[in-house]
Amino acid sequence: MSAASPRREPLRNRLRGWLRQHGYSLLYSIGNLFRHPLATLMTTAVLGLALCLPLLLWVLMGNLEGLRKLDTLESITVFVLGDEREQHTSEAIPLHIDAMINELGAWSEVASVDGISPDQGLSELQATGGFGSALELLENNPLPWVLLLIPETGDPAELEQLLQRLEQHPGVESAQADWRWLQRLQGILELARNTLQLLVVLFGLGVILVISNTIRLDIQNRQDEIDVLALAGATHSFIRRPFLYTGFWYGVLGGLAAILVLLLAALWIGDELAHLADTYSQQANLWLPSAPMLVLLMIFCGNLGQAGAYIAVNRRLRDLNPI
Amino acid sequence: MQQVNLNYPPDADGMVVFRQVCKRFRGGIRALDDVNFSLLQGELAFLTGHSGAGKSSILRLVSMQERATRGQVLVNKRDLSRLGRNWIPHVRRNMGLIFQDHRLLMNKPVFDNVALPLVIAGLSYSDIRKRVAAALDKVGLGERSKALPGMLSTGQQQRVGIARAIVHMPPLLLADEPTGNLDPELSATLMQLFMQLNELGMTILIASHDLELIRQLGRRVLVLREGQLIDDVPARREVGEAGPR
Repeated sequence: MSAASPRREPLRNRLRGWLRQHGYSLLYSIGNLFRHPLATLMTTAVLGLALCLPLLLWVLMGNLEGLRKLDTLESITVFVLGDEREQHTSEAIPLHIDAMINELGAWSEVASVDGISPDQGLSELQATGGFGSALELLENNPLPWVLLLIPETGDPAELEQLLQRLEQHPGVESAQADWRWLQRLQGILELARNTLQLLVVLFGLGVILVISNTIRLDIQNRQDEIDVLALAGATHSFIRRPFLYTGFWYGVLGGLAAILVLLLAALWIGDELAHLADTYSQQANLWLPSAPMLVLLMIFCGNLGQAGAYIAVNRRLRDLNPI
Repeated sequence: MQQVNLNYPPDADGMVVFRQVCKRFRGGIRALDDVNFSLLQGELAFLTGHSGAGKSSILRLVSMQERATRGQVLVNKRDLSRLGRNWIPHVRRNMGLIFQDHRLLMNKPVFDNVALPLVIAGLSYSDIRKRVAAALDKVGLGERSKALPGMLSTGQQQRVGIARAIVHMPPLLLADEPTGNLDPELSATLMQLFMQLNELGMTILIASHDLELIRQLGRRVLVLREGQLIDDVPARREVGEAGPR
């Protein structure tokens, strides 16, 4: 054993040393979480609750986006003018209805046209509308022939022109576009998207502050250790590293807690959603983020945690070498 | 008393060189005033003087806990006054620091405390284990590696602090009142340990006001009073009257 003189280590040794330091910090940070289980649990719960709100909004938006794909929302309902006798015939398509289907089907703006007879319309209304017993009281079927028209285009301006053209048609009593409702939905979605962005920023800042405060307390408890490390020649990176890992784990655990809340919420509202979708003759498919997306989400939360830890530890490091 | 010329130009090749060093704290408090000395590589020297004479200030300047207000402090030919903050850890890794209050991490076992400089250096666990065992054996605590510092006596804690300071075999060892809280017998044992380390080539600077012990060892003594170096007693010479009373 003899006194070593300072010399520069080869790059390979330095790289190995750097990796070992990371291993030390990684293990230390995990051990730190387990050494204070209650504090870890409380912080995770706070972060989970903070993160679940934007996450729930994200999932809600994902499901609303799915509504845009419903065929009924992309169609135009055309109520046809006609005499009483023809309207009540359900056996075959009346001639003028057939002619109108052919005529409208030939328009360049129209992709397809389907006819719905008054009897078909009545049975659909009885099945899904909840007016079953009330409709039985009617002597005659009051419903007209309806043409369900799928436009070729999705452009709102072109759809508006098509609607006007349909309303001017002599055989049409009125034309109703469900896509107007879709436009309103899109507006709502746009608003929700902006709200989500705002919430992500606000709750992201919240996560950073919560973790920053938690790490700050940890730093206060380890003040002596940090001083000794600095005197023993630890770089700022070395001192900072375990706290960054701890912040990362807090973020990941918070993200995991938020995902658990989301899954519980999905279980809770799943039945209600299925019932609601059934009334629209749609299959209930609750949209949930995919597993890789959830992993990315947890990494993102971990990065937020790192940012919080960085802020907290840098404030301490600034005071460490006042010279 | 033999007169010593204290204005000699310090040897630039020394391990620690002070050239006209002044240190003033806020409020104009003068800690060091025009201090010149040179500590050669492999030398063991004591810094002595009253409380507030400037002993700790010299050690703090060498370990870059403070910067000189004026003058040059060179460690291993490197001018510390010209080094940026990023260099501080690199300078400190090449020295061992021993404190009067030990500065041990009370919630970590002796092994972890001693291993600290090696972990910082990024050594492998097997290397760390070997070197920590060797350092603990050297200070006579080979069997206590798993104990928490709180379970040890003051003397044992100080020895853990010494083991931590020497575990990476730094070329320079700085000790601030290492025997301050110890009984004479234990102090003598620790001083013997410093002598052994010095024989291995380690340059050692010890701040102490234990004149009796310093006399017994007969090593070089730098005497400070009110921030000034008033005597530089070479090895094998008695400390003069100007020393601490």
